[in-house]
Amino acid sequence: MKTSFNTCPVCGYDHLAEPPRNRTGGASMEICSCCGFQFGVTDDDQGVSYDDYREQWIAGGMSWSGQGKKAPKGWNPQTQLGALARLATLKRVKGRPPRLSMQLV
Amino acid sequence: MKGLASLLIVILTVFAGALVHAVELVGQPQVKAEANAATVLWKTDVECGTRLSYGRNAAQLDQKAEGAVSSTHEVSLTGLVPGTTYHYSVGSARTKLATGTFTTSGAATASQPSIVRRVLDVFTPAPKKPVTVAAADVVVPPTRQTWGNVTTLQDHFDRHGRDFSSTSPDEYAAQAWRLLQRARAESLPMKLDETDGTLRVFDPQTRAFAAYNSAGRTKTFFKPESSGYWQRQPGRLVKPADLRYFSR
Repeated sequence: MKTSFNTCPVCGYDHLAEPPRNRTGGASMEICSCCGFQFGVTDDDQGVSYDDYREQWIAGGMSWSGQGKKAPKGWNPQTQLGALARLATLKRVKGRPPRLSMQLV
Repeated sequence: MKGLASLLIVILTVFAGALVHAVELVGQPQVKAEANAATVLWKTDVECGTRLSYGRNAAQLDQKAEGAVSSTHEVSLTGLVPGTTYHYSVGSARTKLATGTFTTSGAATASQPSIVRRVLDVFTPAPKKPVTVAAADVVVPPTRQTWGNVTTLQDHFDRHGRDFSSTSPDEYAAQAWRLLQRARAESLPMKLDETDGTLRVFDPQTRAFAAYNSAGRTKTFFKPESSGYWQRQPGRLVKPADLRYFSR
């Protein structure tokens, strides 16, 4: 599965202008057009974690945040979050996942 | 033979009549005057050259503008002085068809000082100009040249514009640009993140913080709420002389 470096770790939107953090951890200061999280401000200044913000965003109805950029055609926040969750799961699994062998009786 | 001679006489008469026919103006010239420009239009009954002479003094129309041979003539004048009356004459190189005046719009410039005043001015030392230029006097480039990602400017303005009492996204972007100019001029604290070329600037007095990309365009501009925000920012402290880019 192809992973974009420009994916928002909060909502999974994968069209950020640049990665949320650079190699040395510097924040991009970008506001995610989808969920509105601002890297380097919402977290570093206001102390809100990705998980807490995501919960708030979901509780608030997962609306598109950007005023200057429209939501992509066919945009679906649930699908986006699902892809993010799958990526997070895959990152935790190191190596090839074990094959399930079925024994036929 | 006699008939042929008569025919020749008739043809010559017609051609001679056409040749000596005086060009006549159709209607009156129309003038559209603006602050620094004017357009003069006029029509003639036959095609002829286009020439317009004009000047501030009716007796000395020392400036000329010409156009193509036509029966519909149009001449555009530029570089005029706002709020000034000009005298003009229209016609061709051979004939003058009409004269008139028009006044450019806008406030009139100050009248010429008297000769005595001008002589005194020569011997009076001019007051020294202040070394620093007020921020408001600096001409700010267009927003698309100062803001990095213009599609997100509205979001930044909505979120942080009130920190600086900005009334519009453009004003907000201009304020961010001014902070960078001030940081360079007054050596405000600056940190350069060499990983991606981001420059972070902080004004301890106003608590204004801004980040600029490697091209010197603003990434964000706001006033941090948490203490120690500036100290936590990555990058090494730099001085204006260390910055190769970020030129005006």
